[in-house]
Amino acid sequence: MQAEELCVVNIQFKKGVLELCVLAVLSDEDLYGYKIVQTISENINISGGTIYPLLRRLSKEGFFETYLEESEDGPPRKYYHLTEKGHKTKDALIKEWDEFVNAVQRILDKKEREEVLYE
Amino acid sequence: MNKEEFFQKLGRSLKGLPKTEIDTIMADFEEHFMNSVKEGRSEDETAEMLGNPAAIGRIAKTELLMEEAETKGSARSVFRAVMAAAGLGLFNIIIVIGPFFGIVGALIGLWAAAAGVGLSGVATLGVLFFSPFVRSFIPLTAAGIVFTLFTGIGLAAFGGLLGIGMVYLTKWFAKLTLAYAKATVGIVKGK
Repeated sequence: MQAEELCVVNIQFKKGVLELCVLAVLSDEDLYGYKIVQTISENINISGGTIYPLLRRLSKEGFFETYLEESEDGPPRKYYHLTEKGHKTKDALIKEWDEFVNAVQRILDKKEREEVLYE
Repeated sequence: MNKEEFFQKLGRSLKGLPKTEIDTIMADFEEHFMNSVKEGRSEDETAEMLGNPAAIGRIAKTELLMEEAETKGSARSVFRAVMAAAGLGLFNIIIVIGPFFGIVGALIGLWAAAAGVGLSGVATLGVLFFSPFVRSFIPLTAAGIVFTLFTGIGLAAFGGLLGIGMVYLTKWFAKLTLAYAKATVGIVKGK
């Protein structure tokens, strides 16, 4: 039961972070689906296909706009462009992330010091 | 898994969604395969990288049904969304789905009770109108007619009130369920 709960928390954590990653990947340049999936799954171990439902939902929520652009060879690609709202959300999420990471680090540091003392 | 298999499984898991939505999702993955192959990956490798198509389809479907439930707010659409989310394994089956079915059962029971009370009122009134046509009819006294009339009206009105109450109760429960489901799915996006 506990292990199962831990697993769910772990998944939830990963997925929440995934949203931030998608927003961050698109903050500097517009990209098409394949590039977004590639950039993220190069670094995070998730099944890439789950990023598409996320892209769709974030588009509907107004974080992205999509447009089609011709590729040199083959049919046009769907590009995702971060909107003003998307940028604001990304900034807020990054701030939250930084605070969280710092808090965790403080706890880890403290634990380390205590362990050193006991030894 | 090859590309064909991937699309077959994806398509199967998206069944029941509007065609435009299915087409959009399929087109996104079609484009993904094309770009991936252009970068030198094989179709099988690409499918591997994308992951289980049935899981992807379930996620896409759940999110769409969730949106639909939110705009429609009907008990049916909420029920469908909850079932889809349950299929994702998002809810702890015992803690959430158990009580959910319990409450749905109780609501159905209360609806039946409201209908029963209302119909018994209508039936009582029916007795007043149709009993003169029955052969074994024993004429009612004036007091009897008044009593039957008021009993009938009272029961029918009470049934109606219960029905109105049930509409509110059902709507409230649907809203609550949706809010919970949304919060859960909002956190758990993906695999």
